[in-house]
Amino acid sequence: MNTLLKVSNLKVDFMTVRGIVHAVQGVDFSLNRGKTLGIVGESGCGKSVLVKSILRLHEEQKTRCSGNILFEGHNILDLSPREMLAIRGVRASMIFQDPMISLNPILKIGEQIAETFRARRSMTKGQAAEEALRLLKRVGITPAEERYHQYPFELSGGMLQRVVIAIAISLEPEILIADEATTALDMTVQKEILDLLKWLRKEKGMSLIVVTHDFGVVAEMCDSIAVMYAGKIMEYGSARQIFNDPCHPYTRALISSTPSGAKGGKLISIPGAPPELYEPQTGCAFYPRCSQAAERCRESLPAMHSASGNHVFRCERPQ
Amino acid sequence: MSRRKNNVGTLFTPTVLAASVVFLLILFCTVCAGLLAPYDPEAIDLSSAFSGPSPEHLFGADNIGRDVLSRLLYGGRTSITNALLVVLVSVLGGVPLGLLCGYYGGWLDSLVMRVWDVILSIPALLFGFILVAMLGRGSAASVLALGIAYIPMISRLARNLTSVEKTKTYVTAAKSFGFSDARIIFRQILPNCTSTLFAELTVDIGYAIITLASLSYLGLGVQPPTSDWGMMLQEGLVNLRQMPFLVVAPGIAIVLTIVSLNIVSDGIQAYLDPEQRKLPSFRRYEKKKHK
Amino acid sequence: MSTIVEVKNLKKYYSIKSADDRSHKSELKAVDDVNFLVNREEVFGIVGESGSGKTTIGKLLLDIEAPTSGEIVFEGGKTGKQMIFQNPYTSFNPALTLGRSLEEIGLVHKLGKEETGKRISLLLEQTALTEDVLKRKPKELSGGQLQRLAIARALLLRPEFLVADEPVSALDVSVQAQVINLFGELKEEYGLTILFISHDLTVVEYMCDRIAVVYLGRIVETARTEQIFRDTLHPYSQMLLASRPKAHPDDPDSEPLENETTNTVRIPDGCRFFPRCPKHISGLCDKIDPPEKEVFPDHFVSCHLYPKSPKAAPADADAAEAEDGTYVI
Repeated sequence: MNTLLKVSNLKVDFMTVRGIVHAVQGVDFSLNRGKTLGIVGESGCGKSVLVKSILRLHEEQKTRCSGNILFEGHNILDLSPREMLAIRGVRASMIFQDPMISLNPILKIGEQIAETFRARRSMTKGQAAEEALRLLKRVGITPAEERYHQYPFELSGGMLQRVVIAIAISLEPEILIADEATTALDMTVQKEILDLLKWLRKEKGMSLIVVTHDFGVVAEMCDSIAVMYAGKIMEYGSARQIFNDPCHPYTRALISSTPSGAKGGKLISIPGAPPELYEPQTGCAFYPRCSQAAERCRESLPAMHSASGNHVFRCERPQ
Repeated sequence: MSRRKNNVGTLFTPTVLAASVVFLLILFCTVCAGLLAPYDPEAIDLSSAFSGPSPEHLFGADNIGRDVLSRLLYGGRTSITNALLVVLVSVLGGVPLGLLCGYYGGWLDSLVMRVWDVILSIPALLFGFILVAMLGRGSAASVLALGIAYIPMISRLARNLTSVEKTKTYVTAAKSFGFSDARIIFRQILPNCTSTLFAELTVDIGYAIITLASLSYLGLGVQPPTSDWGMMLQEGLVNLRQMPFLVVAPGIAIVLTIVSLNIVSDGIQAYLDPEQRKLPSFRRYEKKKHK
Repeated sequence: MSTIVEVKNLKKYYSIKSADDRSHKSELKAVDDVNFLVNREEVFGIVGESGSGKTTIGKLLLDIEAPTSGEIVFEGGKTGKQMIFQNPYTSFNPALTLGRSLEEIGLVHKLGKEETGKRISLLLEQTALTEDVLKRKPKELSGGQLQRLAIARALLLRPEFLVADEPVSALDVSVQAQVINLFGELKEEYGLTILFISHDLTVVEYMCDRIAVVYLGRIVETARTEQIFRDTLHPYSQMLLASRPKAHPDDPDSEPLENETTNTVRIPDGCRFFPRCPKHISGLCDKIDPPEKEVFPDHFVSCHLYPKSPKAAPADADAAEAEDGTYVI
């Protein structure tokens, strides 16, 4: 067994000005070394919250987590803030949609990377600078020597995202989490960043978690896919299983609402909007938008069913 | 669709609650000075001059036997009313100007803002002096002077808010629908600035009370027989040795008013920002919900 | 087919101060000599990446910005064109109720209270929204609902021509489909012409009749949608197509892009795409700006790789050939 991360029955609640949001409602999955997991779903389905809790990035006072996040046998949720420091950014790191979240606007980009080496690897100034430059080259920033001395505002979005990736992988983490990291980028730049991530995975044996709403990105990158809706995983399986044989009506609707090919008839759309997660649900959360819903879907929570092997889905009326 | 009200958490944290109670109490007492004051604030009763607290004079009486409590109440009424008038003047002058500068930018903005830089480099009090020297002393003049002195601050805030708002897409959208500039400025942009402006104004009332008091203290503000807290400070100072309380009483009144106003203003700002608002603990919220 | 908009030699330059030397001003050529025409009742797509000037083109068409030079001929009244923006949450005034936002438009254009109300009700019905959204503030609606309302708002003055600037990019795929379908329905209903600006080739392919690909302020290729996806000519268009993520995990991996994206505000001499172009011809592409050529009927491309089609512009074919002959391969 080569399981790196095992999440079981994870629940995350937030206190907000509108009440308690039950953002993640009992999620289980595991991730093996060198593999890529895609988490897909509409905005507000809890996918971002889920991955942020792996690094415990939530404001602790307003958050309540329960369940287990086992990272190499240690439960992340039980670690002290000090122990978290030895994991966050070192053994698991994260990149976001907006690269500026992770960058300091008034420091030269090279220095920001070098700083990580000096702080965490106790290198000398010279060593750190050398190492930072090497890393900039590795993530495809050209001309690296010149970029080293530039400030974040002087770089394009794609370049900044590369810098962020450089910082994220500087300490060679075992897991890299990309939270909609290519969503705001141009198509050609997105491709370059995805190619870079694939290369890192191959070269370093890094495990990836890719959070996205774009099935194209998932098809491009992932070994397995978790489809999330209203804080729960609705379907989980290998990428091939999900694309070839989607079992949950929600997965099917998501895949078929992506336009493909030339102008044609109407696209299949999902009516309505995802539910807000203030109240605990009594039935299937997708029930109000589901084309196959029946009375019992409203009344009881659907259980996880197995389609084949690892491929599971949470629906009582699959086709 | 989010129909839930964002009413979790409270504006009235213990501090804010205490501050609001204090301020409302002060406001109530001063507004109802006519009903609450045991004596005419200007009634002279030499027989009880410098008398300490007693059943007749709860806070004692001053050098010429005027009841200190009554003078505090009436003086507070003058102080607070004048402070509100100062803020009113500065809003009427500053907000439209700030909106225009922020929206149009360009030379008008540069010019006005440079003038404000100069004025803001002069302390409001000193600027008050200059204007009072020009307008003459007295209550109305000092209110007007301070109102004008506060215009730069308010208009700069309005200007900065507007220059941020005008870059937002809803303004572009309004333009694309053929809205006139005046309509965009006053009916589209202004409603987005009001809550921040309001919080700022609350603090400004406090500042205005202090500065007005200072002007009165120096004899440039309200003129006898009317009195405000600043005037009381000045009169008390002459008799500091005989009866320090004559200075302490208006001093405490001023400090209490300003501190409570500041706390309330901060509280409102924190409440309006969903990130900053003080929220209850999970346990407390759930307990309350079960009931 | 009649034309509704014709754009001739449109330019929009912004003067910018350089970061190093504040006294030195340079020009950002956001839109640099753009020509196209839009036929009535068609969906014309403008595709490009950030910084290509596609949004500026939209704003120029709606008179939100004034062009530096060039001409926009619009056959239609003053209220005949409207715009739909990318993010519905920022394109509605957050401080006003949605009803008030819509009524203000009626007020400005003196529609009268009754007529405004009637039009709003009809549009709400057509966009599958209920009356109670009018009492709400923008942040109380979902992105999809709000974008549908944005479309309703744009149609309030019964325009003939809509500029839709990335109208579905901020939405989830599931909701994108609702909005794309809505465009289709309302286009029929109102006989609309739509200029559809997007960076997403998949959406554009689905939505548009004709497409123009823009790169750094210039149109590099124009053709009918099916034509451009079948015979993609310009290397930049090819690069865009190649960067589409695959639709299925079993599809073969695409080749990595050969040249790095560059961060250029400065437009190079010659063809503006040559620094990124894997096929550029040194000595030619870096020196001479390629003219627009009609390679197939109604399929125009600005690239030195393609000879001018003999079918195009027969009148001055000889002159053109002589001129081109020196460097066509």
